[in-house]
This record gives sequence, C-alpha cells and structure tokens, in this order.
Amino acid sequence: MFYNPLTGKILEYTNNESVIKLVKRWQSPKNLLVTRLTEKELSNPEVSQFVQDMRGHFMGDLVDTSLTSGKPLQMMPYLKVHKDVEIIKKTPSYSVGEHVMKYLVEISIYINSTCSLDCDICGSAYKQFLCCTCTRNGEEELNILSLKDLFQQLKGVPLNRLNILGGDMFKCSKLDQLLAILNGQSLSFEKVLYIHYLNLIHQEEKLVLFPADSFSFKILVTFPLKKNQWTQVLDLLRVHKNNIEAHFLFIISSEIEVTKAEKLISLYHLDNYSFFPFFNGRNRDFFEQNVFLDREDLQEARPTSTEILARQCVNPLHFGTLTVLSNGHIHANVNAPRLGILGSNSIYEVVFTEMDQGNSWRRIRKKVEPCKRCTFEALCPPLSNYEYALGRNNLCHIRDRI
Amino acid sequence: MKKLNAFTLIKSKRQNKYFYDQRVKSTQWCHPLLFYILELHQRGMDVDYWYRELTDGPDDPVQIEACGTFAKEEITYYYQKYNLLRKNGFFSEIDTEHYLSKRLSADDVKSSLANTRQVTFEVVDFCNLECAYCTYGKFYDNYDRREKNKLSPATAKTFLDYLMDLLNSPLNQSHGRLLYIGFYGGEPLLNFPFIQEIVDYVCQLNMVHNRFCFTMTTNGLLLEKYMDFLAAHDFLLLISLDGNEYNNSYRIFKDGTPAYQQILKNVNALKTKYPDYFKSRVNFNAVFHNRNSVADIHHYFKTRFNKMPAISELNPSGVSTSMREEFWNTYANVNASLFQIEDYSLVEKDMFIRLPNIKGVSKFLDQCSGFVFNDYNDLLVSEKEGKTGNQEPRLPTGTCVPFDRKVFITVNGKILPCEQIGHQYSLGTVDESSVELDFEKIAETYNQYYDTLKTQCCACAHAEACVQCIFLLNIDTPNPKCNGLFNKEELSRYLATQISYLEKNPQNYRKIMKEVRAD
Repeated sequence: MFYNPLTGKILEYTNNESVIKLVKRWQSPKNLLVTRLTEKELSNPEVSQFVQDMRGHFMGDLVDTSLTSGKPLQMMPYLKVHKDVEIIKKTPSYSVGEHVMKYLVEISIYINSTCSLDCDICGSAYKQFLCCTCTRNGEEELNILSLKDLFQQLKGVPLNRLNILGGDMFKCSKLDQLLAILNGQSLSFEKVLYIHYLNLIHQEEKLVLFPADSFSFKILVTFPLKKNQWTQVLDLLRVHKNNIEAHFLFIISSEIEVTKAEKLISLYHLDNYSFFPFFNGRNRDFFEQNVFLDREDLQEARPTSTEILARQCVNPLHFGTLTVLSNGHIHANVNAPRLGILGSNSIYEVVFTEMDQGNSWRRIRKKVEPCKRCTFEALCPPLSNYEYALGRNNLCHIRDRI
Repeated sequence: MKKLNAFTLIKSKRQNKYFYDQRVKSTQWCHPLLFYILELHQRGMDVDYWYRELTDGPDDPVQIEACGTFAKEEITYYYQKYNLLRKNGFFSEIDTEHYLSKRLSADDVKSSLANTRQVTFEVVDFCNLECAYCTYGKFYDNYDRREKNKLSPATAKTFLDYLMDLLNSPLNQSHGRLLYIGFYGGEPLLNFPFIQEIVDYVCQLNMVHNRFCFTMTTNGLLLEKYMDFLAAHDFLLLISLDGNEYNNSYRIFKDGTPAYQQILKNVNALKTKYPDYFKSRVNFNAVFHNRNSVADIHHYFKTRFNKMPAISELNPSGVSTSMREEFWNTYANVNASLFQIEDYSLVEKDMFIRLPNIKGVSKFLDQCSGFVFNDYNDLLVSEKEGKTGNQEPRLPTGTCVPFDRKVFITVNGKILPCEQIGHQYSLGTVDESSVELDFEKIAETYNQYYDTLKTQCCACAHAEACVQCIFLLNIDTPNPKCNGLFNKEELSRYLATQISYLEKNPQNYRKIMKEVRAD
C-alpha cells in the first residue's frame, strides 16, 4: 500500500507478484527507494502500470539514466526518536525518567462522585470520553490537601489544561477551597469544567465563582432531554454576568438522538458544540454506520507524514494525560490499571511509571491485533477508548491484509 | 523583516539533484526538470509565466537550457508537481528575525539549573604532566592563572547543597534521572582526599528525583593507586591517551620525559584487576594532532584494549596570538586523516559514529531528513507545526541553554556552563558559605550575546540547525565573527557532501538511523 500525504491518495497492490518483487528490491537498504528498471521489466504491463500510477499520483518518479552520473537516493522514512523509551532502556547513561514531567500536558480530576441525576450513561460514558460519573457505593471527594500538594508538584510542569469533573461538582463540599487553590497559585493552564446541563439549574451563585477569563465550560447533554430545564439553562448562561461561553457536548447513541441534537442546535442557534457517540452495549449498528471507518474516511482524513510518524510510537490522543478519580486513583487511561494514588504517590512517580511500564501513552495500532497485521495500520487514527468499549481494536470496515 | 528562502538546492558529486526544505524539514531527490523550475523560483522568476510562455504554441519538444529537451507533457508534469509541493508548504520563505526571536528569561536559567545533567568540579588546577597542547598550557590564554590551587570540599558542598534545593524542587522535570558528579583538573587524582570527601557527601544526600553517578577525566598516572576506590564507586572513567608511544609523545612529565609507559602500566593494572569494570565503565579520549592518525588510533586501541576512543581535535578557540604558529603546526584535522586510511571500511565498521564524517552524516539526517526527533514532544510539536505551517521561534545559535548540560565549578569558585570555554565567561561564584548566581543577569548576558550575533544569524542559511557555541567566537570582543555561518552556496556544498556520502554508502543510512543515538 502506498500513500501520498500531499494528496491523500492511496494505492494498493496486494496480489501483484511483479510489483511486490519490484517494491521489495526498491526498499532494500542498499537501494534506498531508487532502483534501475530494465527495458524488459518496463515491458511487463503490471510493472508499467505500477510505474505509471506512482508517477501519476506523484508518489514516485522515473528518470532516464542518461540524466545522472550515478544512482541517487531518497530518504527512507525510518522514524528515529532519540529519547524513545525502548532505546533509553538500552542506554545505561540515560534514564526513562529523564525530563519525563514535560510530557504531562493535561490532567482531569473528578473532585467528587455525588450526583442526584440518574443518567443511563453514568458509570460507562466516562470510560469512553471525558464525562462526569458518580459511584453507587457512597460519596467520595478528593482530599483537598492532597490536591493542594498535587498542584504544588505541578508548578514546574508545562501543563496545558486542567479538566474538572464530578458527580455534580457543585455538590462538592470543598469547592471553594479548590477554587482558592487554583486561584492562589500561578497556574497558567486552561481550566475546563465539565458539567451536566441539569446540574446547572439554580446554580447562578456558584457560577459566579468561575469567571469566564479563567474557566471554560463543557455542558454535557444527554437524551431524553428535559425541555424546560434545558431552556432554563440556556437562559441562565445567556444572562449570567460572567458572560459564560459554553461548549455543548451532545452524547449520542442513536440516529434519532443525532436528529434531536441537530434540531436543538438549529433551534437555539448554538455555535459551539460537539457530538460524542456513546456505546451502550446495544447500539453496535449505530457505531458501525457512523463511527467505523472505511477506506474513503482514511483518505479524506489525509494524515500528514508527521502524524503518521507520531502514531508509530505514541498515542497522540492520550499521550501526556492523566485522570484522577474521586477515589484518588490516578490513571493514564481509566480503562487501564491505576498508576498510583493521590496522596500516596507523587505525580513524578506516576508519570515515570506510565513511561516505564505503562501502555496507555504509547498504546499504538502497531502493537495490537488485528491492526498490526493490517496494511492500513499507519493511516488509521490513534486508538481511542471506543476500542476498549466495543472490545475490538479495528473499528473499521477495511479488510485485514495479513 | 529578513526573509530567506526556506529551501536549498543541492547537486551531489554524482550530479544528482536534490532540494532541502527547512520549513517542511525534508530532503528529497528531484528530477532535473523540477530542479530547473526550483532554480527559477529561487531566482525570483515568475514560474507560472515561464510555464505559460514555454507551453504556448505547437506541441514540439522544448529545449531547456543546461537541462535537456523535454516534451511539453513532461514540463507540465513537473510544473504540476512543483505546484503540488508549494500548496503543501514547500518552497516558502522564512522570516528569520521572527524565527530566531526567542530569548532567555531568568526562569529559563533557573529551570535549566534545576534540570542539569552534570556537576563537574575542577579539583585542582595543577597536573603531574605538562602536555604540550593542554587547555591550560602554553597555547591558550583564556583561563585563570594556574596557582597550584585545590578546590575546597566546603565550597563544593556549599554548591551541592544549593543545587539539591533546586533538584528536589518542582522545577526538576525528571524522575530517577542520573546526575553525574564529575571530577576534572589538572589531574583530579592529585587531590584524592577531596574526591573521597565529596563522594561520601554525595552518597548521603537526599535526592528526591535523581540518582547519581561519578565520572572522572584522568591522565591515568595515578590509576593503580586509587583504582580500588574508583571501581568500588563505579566511576565512569575517561582516560586521556593519544595512541602508541609516538602518538602519545605530547603527553610528557614536567622534565620533558614521555609519560606513556607509566600511563600504560597503570591502565593495564586496572584492566587486569577489574576486567568487567574496565570493559563497561572505562573509556578513552585521544587528542588528535600531528603525531597521530586515525589509523594509528584505531589500530592501537583495538589491539591493546578492544575499545574505540573518542577523538577530539585541538581547540583553536582561545589560542594566544604568540602561539598561533606553533599551535597550527601541532593541529591536525581528523577528516583529512580519514582519506589516507588504507582499510577505511574496517575503521569505519569499528569506529563508526566516532568518525567525524559519520557524525556529520548523522547530524545531517537528524537535522534535514524529517524523520528524526529528539523526544516525543518534539515529534508532537512537529505534528502541530506541520498542520499550522508556523514554526515555533527558537533561540539563536547552537549554544546550550546555560546549565542545561552541566555546571562547572573552577578551583577559584567560578561557576561556568561548561569546562571547555574561557574562564572570563563565568556566570557566578561559590565559596565556602554561599552561592552567587543572578539568573536575571545570566539571561540578560546571553540575550545580549544573541543580539550581538543577530544580524549574522538572520542571514545564515542553516540557522535552524546551528551547532555553534557563542563562547567559541570571542563573543565579548567587538564584532565577533561566526565561523559557522552558511550562505546558500556553502549550505548547498555542505549538504551535497553528506548526500554524496550516502549515495556512495546507502547501506549506512539505515545503520545510522537505526543504531546511532544522541549522546
């Protein structure tokens, strides 16, 4: 399979023996993507067509040998990351923990687990995307002193973003103390609050604590919608003196819900919104039709060469992110085992553990079945949490190339 | 606003044509016709107009100057290819002033110190040898006067305590990272009690985010006496040895007699008593001059010790005016020596990345292939830059951020960012009671240096890959001149040399990319 990142074009030659033989020769280390073609080879219609295709899509070229004095070369795309973990582990003078904290870019903290809503998605959705969640086992709140210590440790870290979630975060008994910590330290990262729209009702006073120049809001919307409360929330956001700019996250599990969400967007002129598909265990068809990728989707996505390279060694979706749950457990991915516990393990230890032993930040298709055997592996987007939810890595309609 | 073409055209020794685009970070072979189009672009000509003019009229093949005769179909193909590449960010311009506009802040310097890799102490400023080419010898005048001084343990401990506060603070971005504690001189083993005391002190320090490792550069004369201690503490040793007896003849005692036999005796004693330690923790550095050659060095170290040394040329920076002639008579160039080797392939196989030509190709691939990244952040930032087309501003020159690599404490308590630069560039001081480091002032000093070189840097065709250290440019003199400045032609020639090597040795491309790691 050949791919041109400049055009998005994909060319495949699976059962073409002459082409496969030529390509193997072309790619050999002593040829470096340049090989001489004889008249006899060029008279082979398959080879000739291959050369024409490659040239026609600017993926290769043909030059008369009379125009050069010797074989040129092309740089073969070998990815080399000097501080790659697997390489560092073989280099005694280096350590996996070297500058490891600068990889940490985003933290999500679930400050509590209390909520009076009874959403169907609760307990599952947060494992698929950033979403509030509550526990049925009793109320949990993060220890405020441990949080304070966490932010102290983060002072030297180039964190870009802090996501704050609950339960219903407005029910957190230490909310004002948390805000005091966030406002008191010189923490220059973006602070984003995730809250279900129904938990915004009658919270005008609490919203004042979150000025728009320091915080942004992601409003989670589930169906069936409670229309009265929905309009109340929109009114609240519109008139609030903090001039809150909200981004609406519609959690969708069916085509009907897509339609409903689109109607809301149109009716209420919503400018900032996203759709988050949610797998509820019964809507595999919905996912197969709307989330699974096919070849055209890959071509349309047109990953750049650097994106393709990046996906060979890290998962750009999750790299550098940590989640702290309301029970204090810290994860690089909530679907993977915990790395540490807030208050017991320093953030340094947690990040080091993920880099040294973890498999979330560097969870890549090259290492999982069946993707690692697929010709299109390099073009596919990074593994998301949907793969965990659906219990399979290939959320696609592309045939495996074994 | 200074703008430079982001691409450079290259012709290899085999007359193959390539372009290197620094914005997209890609080096590619190109067809002679595409190369011609790029030459037009580089000359500021209107390529679209040229194409229209050329392809108007009958469909006869067209003669293109110094290129050949081509069918109009071919010309159209390469014109389309040129436009496709342009549409995807190739062949643009770089606003070098913006690109090189980053400057240091006091926080940057402090953070850099909190993340330093090595602390090196100049244990003594005297030596039991008087090597002719010594950095503290007759050739140079950019160091403090040698007065048989020893660094006091109290001063070293004061600095270590100061550094520990930073290393244990949230500014430290590492966990479990090795901190190298280095001992340098003169000959450091001449003050063994100091080394012993500091080693003991370091061993009881409470390092939260680091582990430590001891290193030493030694002439080897006192190895036998102290090897039990060095091996017990797993010192990483770098022994200075230039080769066989004649190769080593610049390394002499103060009475002028050669030191070779004594050095060899000590090294052999260490090798015999601690063979595993010798194999894994002992390395050699051979200074290159007019009495040795790469072939000599290779043969000597392979047969004697089954090791390959680092090879360092004499440093021409800081040479005093009166000694220049003698210095240049002593000086030799490693690359020139390589061309004289009979069995080059064997030397290359054994020494590989230690050879300057391989180092050069490795650096070229690092900087210009588009497939090499320092770390994961570098890869992810490049991904972001590729999407936006905007390059993040960077610091000018290739100078290390102060203390990023190491901190060097001289015997007089001066604090320097490296042991290889003149002592007049001290950034602070330490004595038995306190450390004086003004991070604001250090940042300001560096920024002034950057501003001094700004005009040259903005005119340089290879500023994005600069490796030039400002402290080797007599930066504190009026109008310092950068020896590493590339104009387009010089860059083209430099790139052609690297590509020509790979054309001749394509098998080494993969070897370099797969096996060579950053030091």
